[in-house]
Amino acid sequence: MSQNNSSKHDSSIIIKQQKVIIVRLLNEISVMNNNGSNLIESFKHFNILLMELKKNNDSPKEYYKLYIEVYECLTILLNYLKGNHLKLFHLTDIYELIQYSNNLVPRLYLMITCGVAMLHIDDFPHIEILKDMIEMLNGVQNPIKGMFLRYYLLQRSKFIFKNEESESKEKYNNINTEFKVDFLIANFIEMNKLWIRLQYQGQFKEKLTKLKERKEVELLIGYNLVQLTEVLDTEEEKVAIVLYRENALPRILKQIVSCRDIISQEYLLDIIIHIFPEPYHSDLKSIELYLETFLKLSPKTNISKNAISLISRILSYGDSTREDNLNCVDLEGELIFSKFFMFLKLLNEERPDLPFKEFLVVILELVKLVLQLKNEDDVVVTYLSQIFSFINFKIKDYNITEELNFLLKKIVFSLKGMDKENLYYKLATESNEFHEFIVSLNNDYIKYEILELIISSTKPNIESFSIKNLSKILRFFENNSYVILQKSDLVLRCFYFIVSVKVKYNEDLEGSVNSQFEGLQFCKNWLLSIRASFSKPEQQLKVDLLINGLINQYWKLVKKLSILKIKTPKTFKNLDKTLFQQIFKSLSNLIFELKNKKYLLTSLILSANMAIQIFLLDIANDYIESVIQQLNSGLSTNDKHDILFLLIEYLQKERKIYYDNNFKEKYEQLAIKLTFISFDLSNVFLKSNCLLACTNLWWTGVSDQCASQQSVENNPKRIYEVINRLIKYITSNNLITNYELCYVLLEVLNKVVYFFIHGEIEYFTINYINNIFKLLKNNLRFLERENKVFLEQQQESFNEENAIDQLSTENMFLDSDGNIKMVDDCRCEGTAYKTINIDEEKSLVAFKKNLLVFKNFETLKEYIIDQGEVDERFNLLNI
Amino acid sequence: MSDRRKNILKIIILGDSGVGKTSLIQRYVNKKYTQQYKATIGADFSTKELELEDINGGKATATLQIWDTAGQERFQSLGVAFYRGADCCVLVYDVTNEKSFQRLKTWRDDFLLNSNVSNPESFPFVILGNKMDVDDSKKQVTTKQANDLIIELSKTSNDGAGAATNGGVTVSADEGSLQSNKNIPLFFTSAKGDLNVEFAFQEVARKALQQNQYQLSTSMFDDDEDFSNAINIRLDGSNVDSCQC
Repeated sequence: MSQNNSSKHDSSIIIKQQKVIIVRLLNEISVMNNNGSNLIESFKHFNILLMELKKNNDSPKEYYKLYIEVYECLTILLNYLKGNHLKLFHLTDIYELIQYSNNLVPRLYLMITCGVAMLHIDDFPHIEILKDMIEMLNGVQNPIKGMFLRYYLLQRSKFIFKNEESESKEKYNNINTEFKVDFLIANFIEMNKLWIRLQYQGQFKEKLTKLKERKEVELLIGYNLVQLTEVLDTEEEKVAIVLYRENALPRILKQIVSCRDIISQEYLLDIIIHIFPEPYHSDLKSIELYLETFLKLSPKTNISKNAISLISRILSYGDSTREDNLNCVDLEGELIFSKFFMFLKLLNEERPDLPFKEFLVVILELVKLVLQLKNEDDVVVTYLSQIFSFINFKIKDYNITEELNFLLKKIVFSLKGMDKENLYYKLATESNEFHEFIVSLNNDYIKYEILELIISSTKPNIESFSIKNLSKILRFFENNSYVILQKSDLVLRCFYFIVSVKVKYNEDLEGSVNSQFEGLQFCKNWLLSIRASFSKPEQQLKVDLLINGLINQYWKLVKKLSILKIKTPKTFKNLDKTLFQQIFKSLSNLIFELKNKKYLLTSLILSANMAIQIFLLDIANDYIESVIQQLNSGLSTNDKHDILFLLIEYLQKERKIYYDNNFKEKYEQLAIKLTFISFDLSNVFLKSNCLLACTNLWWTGVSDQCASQQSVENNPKRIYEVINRLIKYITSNNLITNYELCYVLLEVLNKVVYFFIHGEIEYFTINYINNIFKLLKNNLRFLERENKVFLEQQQESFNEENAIDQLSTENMFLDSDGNIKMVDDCRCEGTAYKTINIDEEKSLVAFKKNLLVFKNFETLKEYIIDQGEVDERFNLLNI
Repeated sequence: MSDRRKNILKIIILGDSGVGKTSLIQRYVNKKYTQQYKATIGADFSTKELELEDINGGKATATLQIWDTAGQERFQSLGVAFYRGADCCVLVYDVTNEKSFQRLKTWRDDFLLNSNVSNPESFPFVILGNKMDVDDSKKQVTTKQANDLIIELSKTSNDGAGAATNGGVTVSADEGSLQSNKNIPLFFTSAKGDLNVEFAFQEVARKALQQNQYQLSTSMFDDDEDFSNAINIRLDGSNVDSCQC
């Protein structure tokens, strides 16, 4: 290594030393004195320094360093030759003279330098000189030396290829473009041969080193093509393109194919695509040539990379012409697409060895091309369908790995962000190939992601959302248990498209309601048809979610009707009421498909609510009746309470509508029925909660007091009866605990005081209230005693510091089921007291419950005292 | 009939791929512009002759040897041996591409590391912010950012090539004397719109000439090389106005 370094250093020093001598020899003053004979002397030194380029131990990079230093020295010679021709010598003589030099490589460098000097001067036959020089170079078959020599020739003579803005333009017109192209391609072909030979020359170098060296010198050969771009640049673009595709490109590609060398093929195609301007590549004939070439490449040469670069160059041309509004340079998009598509098919036929990935990466780029075509959406969909059909065809032959799945997903996602509106929707509904593609994906999550993309990019309420399209979208979800079970909201979003709440006044209302209803029914049937495959209990619950979502859409349709009723009563009147019946019939059928009883009943009650909105009292009653019928089967006490409570709320809210529509009797009947059912609840807390709620069924409420004068009125007698029955029940039942008794009495008191405040003093007299107070206070004493006993028992086990914390009831309250709840809604029982054993824990909870009852009682007392200041009657209450 | 001796000033243009290096040179040397993008591979120079005022206020003819380089490293496979002997380095970024701006420092460090210049502290750089013709809404680099960078580069340039190897840690200068009037000129240019290009290259040439003359004067005292006296001859030659006509 160090030896290598030193030899390199030596070379550099030799060159520098010789340069100094040469500069002295060729410097103007010396020349004047020596009458030109110094040139001959200097050749000796040029020979010495050029010998350094004859050595061949270094890597190409090191060689290049020396080359640059040599180049600078030879520039001195070139300028000298140019400047002193005819003054001190004739260049032809010098050119002759150099031929006698002993060493091949130095001789050629000198010869080229002299030849190039002649190219600068008009009188010489330039074409002959160029031919002579390139012919001489055939004598060097050492790859590195030969390539650098040929590079040197190009670098020196590049001025003839350029269209530089100087007087030279005139001068070099005598060399026609065709000759320049020939010259460059000839040099290119020879250089490519040398380059490939580098691979096989010298026995001892390792393969990797050779590859590295080949990569290093690649730009020498690339330089030919760079000069070719310069030559073509001197012509008008149209002429240049013809020259390119008819002359230069076929020859270059032929060389690329026939050399059968992977490195050469990959590099040369890469740079051709990158260094020639975009319009050259966007030419149909050129594209054809490239694609033909790709098919003929050596088996291991990467095809996709070049195909991708080519497409992206064409795309970038499309972009730039669009930006400049040069629409006249319109790309022949359809032809370009069909050429690439044909290429894929041929590639598929001729190269069965290629991995699927190679196809997919090209397709990914091709999709961009399709999207950039300025065609109508239909054409784009057609092209994309062709592409997906190709993928569907290929996908069967491969084991689809995660990497491939990712690429497939990427292809679909690359359609995003294009300003083609609803492209995914169009594909999903119009392209069977796309459908097949998605169905055939083997990764559930990717399938989901794609469906998600389709759904979320679909604009809701689009006119074209017909049942036919709906069915196509829903088909994606069939047999897709992942989406149905894990991502059901995606299906729900589909349902969401069906009903538009917006009312357009000029539309055919009946028609739109009708068609939306049909959409809902379609979904209903679809849902019922797929549920067979989801029969496990936990799956049924997921299907329930979907049913619930669809029920919501039915409600949305009903809501639309109720908006119509309010906003345009006339139109509403004219609507066919049998349609309404059908909607609700279909809805109740759907609701009864729910497996979860609580969902089912809740949905029925809410639907009754909706029916009431559009005055379908019969339907509402039917719904309510069926809820009441179902109450006694398959519900937990708590659920039963919740449903009952909902019913009570419903009835209370709709009281006026019942009264106004001659359903007063029915109302009474229902109210009494609910009260009885409430009384039948086994849990005393829930029972009292429902019963006390039932009292509202005969009470109009504060805000309705004006309305009460018309139809609805309070019925305090009934309320009184209900409350009395409750008190009687809790005071006469042996199984009721003290705590339960106090809790319920306190609730009753609260309710009674409410009615009292609102002026109901006929039944809820001061005496009556005082009696309840007395009863409560008597029983509270028992609770106090219980707590006292508890404290005495626990005195020792509590340590002083924690006692206050442990006995605190801060942030706690009593819920309607008589249990303690924390303000932040997490049940405190059993969680905060893990250190105490279960018996102790139970008594601690009981202790706290009692405390909370006291607290609630105190609150009520405070309230009454406060009220006393504004209402004399309260002062008469004996608290 | 002999030529007046010419100064060859070597200029290296560096910057990310696609910032417009080739276009700027085309505009300056050939007064041409083309929208079409052609990647540059390898490195090659164009020449342009111009008249300049030298340090002493005299007129000097110089040949600018402007080296266009590949912005993509994969197209620079033979290395950057041509950095050597440069008289000025032009760093180009694209005002619509923030990343190309962020990379200026890397290009600068890479140059100092490989060019082996004798005075990394005071070696002249010129920065060009190209593509100014593009709509303002697309610009990503503000003038302030550009000025901040110049201040930063000016500060760190005194540890020169060391900056690249030390991971950019600034070391205080031990030879403060060389650090004078160190400010990197910045020009906003457009090769497409022919904005400021000529002007910028004038400055580049002026800086390069200064550097060239500075190099000559210092290498006179360079004792390391055994042929230093030979250079004197060349120096003599260069300072004599030998027009004999």
